[in-house]
Amino acid sequence: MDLPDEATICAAIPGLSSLALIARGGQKVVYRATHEVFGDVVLKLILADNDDRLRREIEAVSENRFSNVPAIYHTGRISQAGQGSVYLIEQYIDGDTLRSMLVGCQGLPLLTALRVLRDLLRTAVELERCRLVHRDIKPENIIIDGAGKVWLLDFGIARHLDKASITATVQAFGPATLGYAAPEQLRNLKRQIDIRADLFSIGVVAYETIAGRHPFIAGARDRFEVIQRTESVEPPRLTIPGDSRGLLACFVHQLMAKQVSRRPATAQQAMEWFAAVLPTVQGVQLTETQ
Amino acid sequence: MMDLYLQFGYHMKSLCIELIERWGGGTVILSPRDLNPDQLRRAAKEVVDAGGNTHVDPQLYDPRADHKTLQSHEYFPKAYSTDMVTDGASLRRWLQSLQRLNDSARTSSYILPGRYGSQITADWLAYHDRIVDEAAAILRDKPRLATICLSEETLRSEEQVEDILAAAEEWDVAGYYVVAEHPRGKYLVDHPAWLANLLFLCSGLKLHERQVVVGYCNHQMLCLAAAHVDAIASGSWINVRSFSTRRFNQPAVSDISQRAVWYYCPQALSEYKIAFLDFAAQRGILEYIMADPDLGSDYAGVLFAGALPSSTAYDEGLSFRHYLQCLRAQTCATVRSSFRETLDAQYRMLETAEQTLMFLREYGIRGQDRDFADVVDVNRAALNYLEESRGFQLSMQWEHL
Repeated sequence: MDLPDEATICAAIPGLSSLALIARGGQKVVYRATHEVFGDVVLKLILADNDDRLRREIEAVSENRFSNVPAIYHTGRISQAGQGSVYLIEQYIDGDTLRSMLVGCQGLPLLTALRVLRDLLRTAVELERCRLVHRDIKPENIIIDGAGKVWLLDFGIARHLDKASITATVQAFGPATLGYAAPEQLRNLKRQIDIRADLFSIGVVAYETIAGRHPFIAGARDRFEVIQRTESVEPPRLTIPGDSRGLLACFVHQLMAKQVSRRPATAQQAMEWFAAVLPTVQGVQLTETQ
Repeated sequence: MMDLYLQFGYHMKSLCIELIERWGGGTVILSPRDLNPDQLRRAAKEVVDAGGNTHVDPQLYDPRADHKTLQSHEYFPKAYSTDMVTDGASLRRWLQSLQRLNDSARTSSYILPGRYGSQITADWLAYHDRIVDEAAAILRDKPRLATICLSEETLRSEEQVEDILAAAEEWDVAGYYVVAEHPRGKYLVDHPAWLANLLFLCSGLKLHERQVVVGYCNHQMLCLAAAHVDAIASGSWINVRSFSTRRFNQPAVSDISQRAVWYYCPQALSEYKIAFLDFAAQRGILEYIMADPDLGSDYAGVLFAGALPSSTAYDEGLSFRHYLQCLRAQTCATVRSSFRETLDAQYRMLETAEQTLMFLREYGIRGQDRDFADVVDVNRAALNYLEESRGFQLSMQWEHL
């Protein structure tokens, strides 16, 4: 089965033009495009036989409105020669991925890193209210726009805690990105997976953004060592300029705790701890509007 | 504030009433093992009339226990089978009989049945899930505390403690009643990992923002203040100051084999036999063993009035009263306004005990198997672990706990 070509897509979705390829996989393709009503948009297209995850993403984002998640404008199906594909059109964010910003640098300025941390925590609070876990928070899925706003993308493996799981319970490893997924997520321990799995990933992203090196991947021989480090090795203690009492470093490490019970109990609690820690960091002024 | 509950033991009724009246209130955890149904009802009435609260520990740690007094209670299984928990109707009947027991004892909270397990297994977790779920439907008229009964082996395993924390978080209860088997049956625990994991578990349970009561404690458990535990429970004999399931299979009196009279020296966190107080008097250092009057115990005053301690009327009853009065004063003063201050107070208490013990040892004064010298470092190590593992969480949440 093939995905439809660009001409077929434009013909099937009225008002869509100027498709530019962003990414292509075997079952999925992502374009930047222009829509006559919505302006600049992102179009995601996936083979209908593999649409569970796209459906989950559509449900997660369109049923809820998150401040730091691109809005979904429209969804539909395209048929071509008896084959079906599902698509969604979402808000285009003009910015850079956190991954691209991290390449070749020794960590981002502390103010930027703190903004990323704060905005991810805010998003986690909103996800928690909706009983959602993103499960794939990583620099590739984070965009910082021209105004400095942090956006979280790709709810393809998000899970609603009150809905049946797509992943088989007996599967040894759950859907995850190595190095960012929490130990309980890696091991597919569903009873233990909740927003604290996302807090773990946020901790890893914060660590990498501040230190400029990944706490588990840097220097690892192979993926098995990444898993082993994620599950059992405490990363080197963060040293952060201005963090004279060491509380910010403590907070980031607490987010990345191996055991669920050592992380903040909720995203709201994590946000409150962050708010308490922030004034102890000297030399940065992070205001509400920044 | 951490409170001291009275863990009811053999012949403790008059002591409980007296202390409840003296303290202007308090909570007694009644023991069906030590009170038959009539006695339990009468004791509960007297405690409540004296201004106290009651709980009943159902003591179902081993539902096959054959203790005669335990077996005299309607709720206690005469022929236990796992069907009692797996079959919904049987479980409901069981919990209803527990409800009748609690009604007769005028309890302010339910303590739910919890089973001793040498390991935390899927079966153990399922057993407790079932009881907690069914109790949420039936025992709705007052707060419910889930019992977490820990074997010595369980408390040596960080992984098993995590399993308990993950499961307990999901339970629909107002709090937890934790009882922990002491390693090798020792009164004072000399195993740092055991104590460290108990602190870790209790602080984790407390971070669920629910009540945590730890049963069968002695003064070594004052360190639980650093986990912001709500109450520890203690009593007269050592079999209610340290937990062992053996107690529920033994005849009522025979376990009280050594009836020596002890004196608790709070500043040394140690207890001494009267013969050693005689020796301290002979060496001219008896006054250093005397409890600080601020702790409010006048029960042991006779020991320090000038006569040889062994010639005074200080007896086992005064010994228990003195211990519990001092322990209560120490317990109530342990939780401070922040985690840091509480922890520092714990370290200072250990430092004071260590110095006092060194001084007393120079004169040959020893507490034998109740001497704290060998476990000062155990408590230090456990507190240090708590600071490392939970310090940040507890510091952040202290005011909300």
